[in-house]
Amino acid sequence: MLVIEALTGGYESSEVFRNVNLEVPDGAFVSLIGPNGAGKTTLLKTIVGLLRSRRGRVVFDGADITNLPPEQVIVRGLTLVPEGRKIFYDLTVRENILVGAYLRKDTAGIKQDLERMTSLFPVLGQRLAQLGGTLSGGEQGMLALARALMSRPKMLMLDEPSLGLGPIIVDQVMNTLKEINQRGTTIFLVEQNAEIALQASDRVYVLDAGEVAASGTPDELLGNAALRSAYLGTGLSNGSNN
Amino acid sequence: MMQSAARKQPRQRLLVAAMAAIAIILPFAAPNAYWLHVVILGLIHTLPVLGLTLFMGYAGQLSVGHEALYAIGAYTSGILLRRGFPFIVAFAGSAILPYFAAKALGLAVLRYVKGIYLAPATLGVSWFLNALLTNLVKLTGGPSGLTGIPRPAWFRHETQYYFLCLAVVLAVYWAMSRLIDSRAGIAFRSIAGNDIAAECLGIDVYRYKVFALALSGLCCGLGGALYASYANYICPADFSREMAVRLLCMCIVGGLGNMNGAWMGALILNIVPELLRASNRLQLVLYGALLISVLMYWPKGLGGLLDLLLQRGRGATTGAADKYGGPAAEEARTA
Repeated sequence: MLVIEALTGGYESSEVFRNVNLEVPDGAFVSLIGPNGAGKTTLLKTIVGLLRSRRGRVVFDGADITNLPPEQVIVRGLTLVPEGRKIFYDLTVRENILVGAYLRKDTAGIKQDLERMTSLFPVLGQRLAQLGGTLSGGEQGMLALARALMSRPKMLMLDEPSLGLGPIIVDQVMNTLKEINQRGTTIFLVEQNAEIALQASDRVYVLDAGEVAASGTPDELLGNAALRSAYLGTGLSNGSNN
Repeated sequence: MMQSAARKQPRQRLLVAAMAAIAIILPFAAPNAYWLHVVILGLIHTLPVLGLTLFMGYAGQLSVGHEALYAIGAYTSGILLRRGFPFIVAFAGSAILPYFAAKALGLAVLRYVKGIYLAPATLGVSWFLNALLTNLVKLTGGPSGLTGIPRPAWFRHETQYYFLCLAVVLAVYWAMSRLIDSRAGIAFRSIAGNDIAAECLGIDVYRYKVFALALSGLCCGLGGALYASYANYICPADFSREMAVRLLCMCIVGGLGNMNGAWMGALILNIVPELLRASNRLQLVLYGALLISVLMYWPKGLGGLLDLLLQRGRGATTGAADKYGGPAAEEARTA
């Protein structure tokens, strides 16, 4: 579904990631993990067109989308949930959800999807008239997901959805992501929290200092002692060796 | 939610009816011509304040130079009327020229300049314009301004002019309230909320910021046209830095991003200084104290108070946001 070939990019003054190759197959749940400052967010912003790449290619669903503006990327079915959720505090929950369908014109479909969202996230259904800013962190996470799903993405990219959420809420968010994935949406998750990423994913890439340092299935990565101690944290080995 | 909307209606209708009655009776009940004059100025100022409300309140962008757009509207109308153009042409010119002036400014500035940096950028524009008004003597009359700007034939008398201003304010208010709930309005408010998130949803942030500024220029221009004909005389001093700050104060005292706040702020900040005039030298002190108190105790402004009166509150973070909810907004969005 998404193929990234030798992608290099960053900001005007600095190159943040170099020669990144990765692939997210259709229907898969793939994660990108790595320490703070590795270039994960910058990579996502480049894929979705918020930043221009310097070299390399981004191919989505068979089409070259390198450096296309976000609205054209979204229309093709690739949507990013930005870091920190960034829901709109002064819009109602209903409007927050509806604004996710901003580029769609099919009124009836939008209405249907709004109802779908309230059944997928019952807590949002109860708060449609409430302002986004009055939701708790976890509810905001759900709202950001619902908003992104309203664009009917084939693939959803998420930038650290666990950020600032308690463990129970993180579990809820991850379960929802798995459910969305099982319903057919491809997921590309970027996480600093390696543990939750490994638990949910089919395949994991490790980004360190702007380069892909490792990749493989969660089991392969966990089987490599050097990788485990470098990127996956120590607490993880106990939990995952069954 | 439908229920709560239905429950609110009688109260809102009553209030709207009461305000309509006051608006109609007011020019006949005003104690003297001077008070009618003050109210007319309040109505005229409501237009640039609505412009600011759109650009600052809804689209979330800073401007400290809106008096420049107001001035462009006033001078356009003033120049055209003095050359014998019909009022309707002058009025249209005062809508169109500030629209495009604001659009040009937006295209130049809004792509790269963000947040607080818009203050010096918009301040620069207002200096630039003031220099033009002062120095293009042949066109603008220079520092001494333009005299003898006529009023349209049917609106020579103050009472008639009051109703003209009222009609324009109501039309702009109505159009803007439609706009705010529309697709473009949702784009504006999303950009104000978080421009990165808006971009991630496919909203062309730059284009909509420019659009908000252009429309806001149009509102200011209409206000300027009304002012020029009303005062019969305009000069650069009418559109000074003090005017810019007064417009900002009206916008904030009314409640940033609250359309009812716009007219309330504009009226109150015209009326209160007159009420305080009796206190003579204390006038400015009291006026300043009032401004500070409003900011301290009612950060949602006068419009926020009105929302409270109407019990529209839903634990809102800003007064303006209350009106966004409900079936109307959704209908507008999905229509």
